[in-house]
Amino acid sequence: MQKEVNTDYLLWKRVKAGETQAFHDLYMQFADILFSFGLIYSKDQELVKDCIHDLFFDLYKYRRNLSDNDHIRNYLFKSLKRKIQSPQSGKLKLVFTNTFQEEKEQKASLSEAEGLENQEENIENIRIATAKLSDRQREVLNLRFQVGLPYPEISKILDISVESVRTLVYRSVKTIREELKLSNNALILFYLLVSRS
Amino acid sequence: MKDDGNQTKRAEDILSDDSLSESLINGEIQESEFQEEELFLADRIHQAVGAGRIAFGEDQKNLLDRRIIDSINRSKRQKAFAWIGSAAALLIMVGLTIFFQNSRSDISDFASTVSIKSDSDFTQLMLSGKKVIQIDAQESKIAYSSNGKEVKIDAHEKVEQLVEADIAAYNTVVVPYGKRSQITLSDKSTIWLNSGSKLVYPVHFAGNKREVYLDGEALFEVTPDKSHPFHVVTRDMEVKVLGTVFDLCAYTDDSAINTVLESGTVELIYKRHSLLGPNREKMVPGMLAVYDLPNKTIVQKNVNTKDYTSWKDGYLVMEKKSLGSIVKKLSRYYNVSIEIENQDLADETFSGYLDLRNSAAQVLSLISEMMDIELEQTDHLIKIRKKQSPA
Repeated sequence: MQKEVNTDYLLWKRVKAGETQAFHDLYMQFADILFSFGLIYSKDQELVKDCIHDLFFDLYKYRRNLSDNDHIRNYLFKSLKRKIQSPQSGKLKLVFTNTFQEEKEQKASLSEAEGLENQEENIENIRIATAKLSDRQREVLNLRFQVGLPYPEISKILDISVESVRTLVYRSVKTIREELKLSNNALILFYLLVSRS
Repeated sequence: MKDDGNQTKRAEDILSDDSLSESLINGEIQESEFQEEELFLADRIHQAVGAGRIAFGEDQKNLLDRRIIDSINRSKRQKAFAWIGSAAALLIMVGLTIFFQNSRSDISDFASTVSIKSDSDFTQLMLSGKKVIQIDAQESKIAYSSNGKEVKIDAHEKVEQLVEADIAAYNTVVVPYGKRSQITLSDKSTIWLNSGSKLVYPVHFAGNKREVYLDGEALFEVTPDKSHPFHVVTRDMEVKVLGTVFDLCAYTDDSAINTVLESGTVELIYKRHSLLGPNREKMVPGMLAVYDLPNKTIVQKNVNTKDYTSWKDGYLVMEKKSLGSIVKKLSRYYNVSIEIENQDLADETFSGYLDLRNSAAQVLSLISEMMDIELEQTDHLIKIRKKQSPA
């Protein structure tokens, strides 16, 4: 752990010095998680990529204003979220790509191919139930289970306490449970089928 | 030791707990410790949320890396170039369209045989074995080793090609509209190739003349070597470079060839009306030479050379330029169709500094704030018309 902090610190120093290779190293270290993180805030993959580009280029442009003790990860996450959500993003774009629809279609064909309709349907019910959650609750669930960030890190990104993050998750799950009961008992039926076979 | 407390844990307890949720994500949770229904629900929720994950493809990831590094390098280069400019480097810019018979040489013969599809969205590099490499980067970089055998593309990719010492082997780069490329030749001369352009050059220079062929627009920074003068051949005109840096623009859909010289000396070799041999005209720094193709005459005048060369650094300086000519440049640079609906509007002039890192629509909306025009944007066409005064 200590070593990791150390290499992060050295990389940050090279970034501040404006070394091109340092930006490549930093990008390679964070590209996957930033992409996954960005997609929580926009389904437009091109927009997310543009924002990641701007994030790193801004880092280069304003490298002299960066402070020494900035936590790289937290800085990158927060800035990327701000960029994607800024009102300028997505405006004035010449090419719009709607990957969401394609993605749904791909998933549909995938589940058919693998004969996983039941399981997919089951998961789909939960996905529908998550629509009833508040934006904040959905954001936290996505950060934890889609991006895979631990709760203390989520609390730093959202500037709320770890306890608040946990409460958001706790309430989300209760809501989903109720939604599922309301809609049907398919989950329990499915569970019985799976566990008895 | 088992923690009996787990038996009472519900799905919300499992998911909101740091270490239990971590075990669930990693598939390491001890199933026997929990109530089956609760663990099942927790796992389904974790999977349902996780199902939205989309992996960042390796190719996509590397392309974005190049884009970022290119932007940073371009920003660095801008500064480097401001310095070269003040150190009185030589800059020329030429655009051309007529037939220039006397410059017919091996390289232009070769260029006429090169058949690369020019409607590709990629920047294409054709090596000597006819192998074509496609490059997706907006601003790509191609660099040759001193023997020409090794080609580096965007600092990440390296290809090798067979080069025989005595035979002139040519490579070709074709850049589509909307992209640019920077090529470093085997003699360390650097060429910035603008959108919609083609450059043919020997893998390594043999003989006593360094010769390249251009169709389109490019800026050349030529490594000085008096015993091996550098010639840029185009279909209609030839530029003999006596100094270090110059820029040549030769689009076949333009009716004039513009040559701009920032400093140093160049010689223009062009065809006159008469059947006498080619005419030669020398240029001094700060001049623009316009070769009028229909009349086959050259007129020189004093200009601000930056107006003609700034595209390389990602911006355009416009001084009393007609909207029509600005739009032509923008549509080449961005590869979008831009239509001006009123002819008198096309003749209106505009002065300003346009940052080409913005999108075409952003650049145009900036212009629209200063002129009385409105924009209508569809997929790949931007229409410009006069603002309708409210009736």
